[in-house]
Amino acid sequence: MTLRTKPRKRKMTRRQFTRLLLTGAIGGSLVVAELASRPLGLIKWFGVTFKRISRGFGNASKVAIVSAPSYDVDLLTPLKTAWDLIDAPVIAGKKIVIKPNIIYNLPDRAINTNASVIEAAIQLLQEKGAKEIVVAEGTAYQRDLTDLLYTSGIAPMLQLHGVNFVDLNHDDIVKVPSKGGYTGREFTWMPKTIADADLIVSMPKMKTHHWAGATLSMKNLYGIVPGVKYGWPKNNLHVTGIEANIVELYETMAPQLAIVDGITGMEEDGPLFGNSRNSQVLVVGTDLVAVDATCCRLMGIEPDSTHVKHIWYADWLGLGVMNTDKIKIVGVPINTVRQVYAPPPNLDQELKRY
Amino acid sequence: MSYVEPTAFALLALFNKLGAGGQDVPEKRYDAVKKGMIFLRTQAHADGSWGVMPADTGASWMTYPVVWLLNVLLKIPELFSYYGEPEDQDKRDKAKAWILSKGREPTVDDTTYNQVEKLFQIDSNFRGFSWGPGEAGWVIPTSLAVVGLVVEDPATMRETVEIKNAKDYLRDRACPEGGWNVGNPYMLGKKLPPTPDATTFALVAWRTTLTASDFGPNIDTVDKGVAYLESYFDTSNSDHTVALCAWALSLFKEADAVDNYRLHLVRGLTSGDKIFTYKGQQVTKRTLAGQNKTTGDWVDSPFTTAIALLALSDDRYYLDPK
Repeated sequence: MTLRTKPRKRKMTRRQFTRLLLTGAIGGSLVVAELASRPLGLIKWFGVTFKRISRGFGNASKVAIVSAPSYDVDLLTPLKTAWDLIDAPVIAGKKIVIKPNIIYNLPDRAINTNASVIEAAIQLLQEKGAKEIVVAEGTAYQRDLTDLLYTSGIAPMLQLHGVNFVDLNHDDIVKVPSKGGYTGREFTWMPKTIADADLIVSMPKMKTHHWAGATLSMKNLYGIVPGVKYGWPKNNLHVTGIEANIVELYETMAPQLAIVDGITGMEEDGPLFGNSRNSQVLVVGTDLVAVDATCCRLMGIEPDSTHVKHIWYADWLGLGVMNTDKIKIVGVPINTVRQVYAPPPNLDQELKRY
Repeated sequence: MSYVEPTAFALLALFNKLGAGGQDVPEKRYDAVKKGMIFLRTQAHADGSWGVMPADTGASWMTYPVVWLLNVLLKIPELFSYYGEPEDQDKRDKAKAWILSKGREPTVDDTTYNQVEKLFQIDSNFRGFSWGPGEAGWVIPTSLAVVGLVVEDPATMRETVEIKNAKDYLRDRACPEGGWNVGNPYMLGKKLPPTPDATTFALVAWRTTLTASDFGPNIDTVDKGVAYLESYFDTSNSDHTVALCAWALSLFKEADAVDNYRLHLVRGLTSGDKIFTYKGQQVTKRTLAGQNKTTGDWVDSPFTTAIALLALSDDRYYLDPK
C-alpha cells in the first residue's frame, strides 16, 4: 500500500532567509553607495581604481626640466633639448592649438605666458612639421583681449610668424560629451577650434593660485571654455568645484603636451598679485599631472590633497602620475633649480584676517 | 554659425530711425532686418528666454539684448510697421518675466554673504543679473538687463525694486579708482583694475537709469568711469574696444568731443588688423547688411560694427525710443 502524502508547502529555511537578507542588504548598500557617491559613483570608482592600479605597472612619466636664464636669450635651443628628452608626440601633419595663459595686464606682475616662450614653441612645432598652428585663449576677465595681446608682445610676434590667434570666448561653439562625470555635467560647450584640434599644447606660467594652490598646465585649461556660454569670469566653473572641473576638462580635452614658462614665475598671491620669482626653467612633458606635480615641487609646494587638490585628484583618478617614484625627471636635476615660493593665501586665514 | 547677441546688436544698429521707414530703406537692408528678426523669433524658447545660438537649448544672458531690441521695435511705430509681428509683444512680455524671475542672481545665506564680503569687499544684498540662471550676478549682464528692461518704460521701470537694486549693484561693483571690471573691484584685499568692456556697458546702463534726482549721488561713479574710458581710448589697439569706448563716451560727452571720438573710431576701423578673428569691419551700413546671410544672422565682426554704428549715431533711438 502506498501512502499518499499531501504535498507540503516548501518553507524557507532560516539559513535561506539569512542569505536572502544578506544579499538584499549588500545589494541595497551598493545601490545606496552608488547614489551617495555620485557624481563619481561606485561603479566609476571601481573603474578608476583599476585604471590607477594598471598605471602603476606602466613606465614612469618623463618630465624635462631645462635651464633658460631669461626671455632675452635663445629659447628654441633649450626647448629642443627638452623635446628630445621626453617621449614627444608626433607633430607632422597635425592641427595644433597652443593655449598660453593670458589673463590681465598689471604693471610689474609676471601674469601672462611670455611671448618669447610661445614664439619658441611655434618655431619648434613648425620645424616638426605641424600642418597648422594657432594660438588660442579665452581670457576670463574681459571680453576683448586684443589689447592684452599687444601689451604682452604676443600680437606682433604672431604677425611676424604668420600665426593666427583665435579668441576662444567668441569662437563657434560645439557640444562635447563630458568625460569623467565629476561635475555632473553631461556635456561641455567647447570652442570648435579646440574640438577640432589634433593636439592641444598647454603653455601656462608657473604660478601659485589663491583658490587652487597652483595654476599650471591643467588649470590653464579653464581658459578654453567659451565666455559666450559660461560668461566672464567663468565663475560657474569655480562654484561647481574647481578640482572637479579641472580634471574633467583635462580628461575631456586630453591635451597631449605641456610647456611651462617657469623662467619667471609668480609666488604668494597668484595668479594676479603675486611677486615674481626667477626660476629660470622650462618644464616639458606629455603627462600633465606629472608636469604639474614637478612644477609644484620646483616651487616648494607639495602637490597633495591639502595644497593642490586637483593634481592629487587627477593622480587618484589615474589620469596621470604625481608621485616622484613614478616620474622620471630628465634634464636639469630638480634639486639644483628648486626654489621655495611664498605660498598663496589660505582661504580660511583670509576670512579670519578681515 | 548664428549667435543671438551679435544678431540683436546688428538689428539694433540697423533700426536707426533715419532708415527705418519711408522711401529710404534700401531693399537689401530691409531684407536683412526681416531675416534677422525671423531668426530671433524662431530662437525664442517656450519659457521666454533665448540661448546663445540655435543648438543651445538652455536659457542665457542673450535674452537681455533681445528684450532691449524688442522694446525698441515695439515703441517706434514706424519701425514696427516695417519689421514687427503681432507675436513680438508676447515674446517681449515672456522674456521680461523670465529676466525678472530667472535672470537675477539668487539671494545668498548669511554665511555666503559674510564670506563674499570679506574676500571681495562687495555687498551681496545688491542683486545683479547673471550669465545663466541660478548663477551669480556680474557687471556686463546686469548692465544689459537694466538697459533691456528700462527702455520699455523708463519712468516706471526706474522705480522698480529690481532696477533700483541693480543700480546699487553697479555702484557697489565700481572700481575704487573708476570704471568697472567683471564685478570684482577687490580680490583678497587688492584692487582689481577696470576693463573697457564692462565700463562701457555699465555706463550705458547708467545713462538709461539716471534721473536728475539721482544723478547727484552717482556723479562721482559715472565721472570716474568716463574718465577711465577717455584715458583708455587713445591707447587701444583693438577696433572692438575703440568702438565700445566711443559708444559710451558719445553718451556722456559734449558734441565736439564726441566728434573727435568718432573720427578716431572711423580711422581705427578702416585700418583693421588681419590677424585676429574677432576684429572690426569698415563702418558702413552696407557692410553690416551684407553680412546677413540666408539664415538671417550675423556673427563675430558685425558685433563690432554694430557697436560702432551705435557710437556713430546722433539719434538715441536705441535708448529712448519714441
